[in-house]
Amino acid sequence: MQKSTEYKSLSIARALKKEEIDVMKIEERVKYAIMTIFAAILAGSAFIFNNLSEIIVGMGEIAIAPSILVTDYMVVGNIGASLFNAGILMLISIYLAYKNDVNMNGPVIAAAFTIAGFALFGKNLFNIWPVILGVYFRSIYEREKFSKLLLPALFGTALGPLVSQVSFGFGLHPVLAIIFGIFVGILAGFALPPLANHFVRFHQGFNLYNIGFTAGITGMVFMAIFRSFGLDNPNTLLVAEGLNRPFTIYFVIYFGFMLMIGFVLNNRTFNGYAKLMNYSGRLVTDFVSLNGFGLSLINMALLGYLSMAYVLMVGGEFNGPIIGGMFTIIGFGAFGKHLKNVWPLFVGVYIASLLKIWEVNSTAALLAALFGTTLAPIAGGYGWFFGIIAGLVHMAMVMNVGGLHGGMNLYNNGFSGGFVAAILTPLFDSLKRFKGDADY
Amino acid sequence: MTNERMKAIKIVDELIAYFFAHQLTDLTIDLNYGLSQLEISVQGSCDQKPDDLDQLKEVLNSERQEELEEYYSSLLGESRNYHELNLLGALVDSADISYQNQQLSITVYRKRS
Repeated sequence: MQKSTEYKSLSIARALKKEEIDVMKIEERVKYAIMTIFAAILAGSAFIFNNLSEIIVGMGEIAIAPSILVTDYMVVGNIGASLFNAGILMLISIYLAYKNDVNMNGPVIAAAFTIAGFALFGKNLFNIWPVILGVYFRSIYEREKFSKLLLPALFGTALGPLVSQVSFGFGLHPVLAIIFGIFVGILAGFALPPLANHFVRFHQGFNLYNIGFTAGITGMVFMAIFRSFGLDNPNTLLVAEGLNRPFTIYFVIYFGFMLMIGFVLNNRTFNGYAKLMNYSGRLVTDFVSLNGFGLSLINMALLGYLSMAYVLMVGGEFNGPIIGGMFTIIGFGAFGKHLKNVWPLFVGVYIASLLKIWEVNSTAALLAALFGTTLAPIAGGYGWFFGIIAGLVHMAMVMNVGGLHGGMNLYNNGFSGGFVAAILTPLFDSLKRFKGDADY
Repeated sequence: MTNERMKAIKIVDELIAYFFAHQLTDLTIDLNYGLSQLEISVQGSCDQKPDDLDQLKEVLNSERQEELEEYYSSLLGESRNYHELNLLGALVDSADISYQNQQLSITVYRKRS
């Protein structure tokens, strides 16, 4: 290497980089502001459905709910309280990212909307903190900045029900139960980062909800230990009904607002969307870095409309878990999912529902369809036909793995998706079917 | 071995994978694991400028994203079927890429925190 030339070149690169960073900082403020508005709208819209005292009472009921899958906070508390819970938890995620100087890029947007979505059916102001604290302790232990572990901390709140069920569901002495619940949450959070980095290799990045798989394994271990002491979780399916009309109007407006902002930020065009859909979406595909924040918002809004249309077309009901699924899809609209790689999964799960024993409009089948899009990179990388196969296999798998963690892991589809991706992608590779990304 | 050294190995893996994907097999690799920064340079003879070189330059000079490191870095250099150049771009601070006299040279820089 010719060092003098290299250093000169390096200094130029650094100078250019510095300018770039200055520009990015301004953009970051805009991105943070817009994300805060989306969260504030969510929290604020609670008052459309309930008054302040009802929301406060509902929030209290949500905080002490065992919250194992599937517990709709719209039933446990009320609609207003669950929306308020979603908005507040999303604001907390945004604040944690801001405080740790992390850019508002695809993964963080995905995490913030995923947390908001699951705050409608499993995450609350009590059960997220022990897991986050556990990840924070991990960062101290490894002498790393917490910003490097922010994603496992945010996504890791999938194990919220582990904290809540131990604290309120096992019937232990109330004070000891809460202390023990917090302790296991911290322990799980401390274990998650190295496990997440390890397990991502298992599915080679084709399962977008990587923490879902990791948390599934972690939850499985905890559940096995609990069961060995005679502690088990009841089968839970608590979902609201009859809310299609208000939520159809609500989300048409919400996604419309998102689409409009994206359109304006993308220079009042939809330019670049065709290119965005050429990405397989495999981890790590950050649409915000690659295609811009505006185009990512456009993609997120379009995915929101698509998921809403699917639910309505098959005669499903909007409730906490279903809306949570929609929010997760729009979040990952900034981090791997787009119209072209999502629809084959919907079709695969739909066909599976027709052929198999599950009703296509049941909550479980709808959750499999919405969250089954965790496998969107398979459709993006290998083609729509293979995406449909993944959907078919996923539908069967997801109905079988939940029992392993007893509903302690909220990202059950991510758990299933990890297995499906790990099984299918080596087979598809052996057929030399990977088309690759059009470019990177 | 420390995490940082493992990342250096994986970055080298990924760069070699890029050269191999373009059928470049006669390579010179220079690695400087300095106190303040890691510097890796890979050079090889290449008859034609790779089509995707400008895109590669863009990706490797995109902003470093520390939050991806501990979560996804194990994907780097892991598969013989897929490239992880987006991830590589998130792990390095900047890159110098040149194609001159049928020589392709890629140098990446990663500050050590």
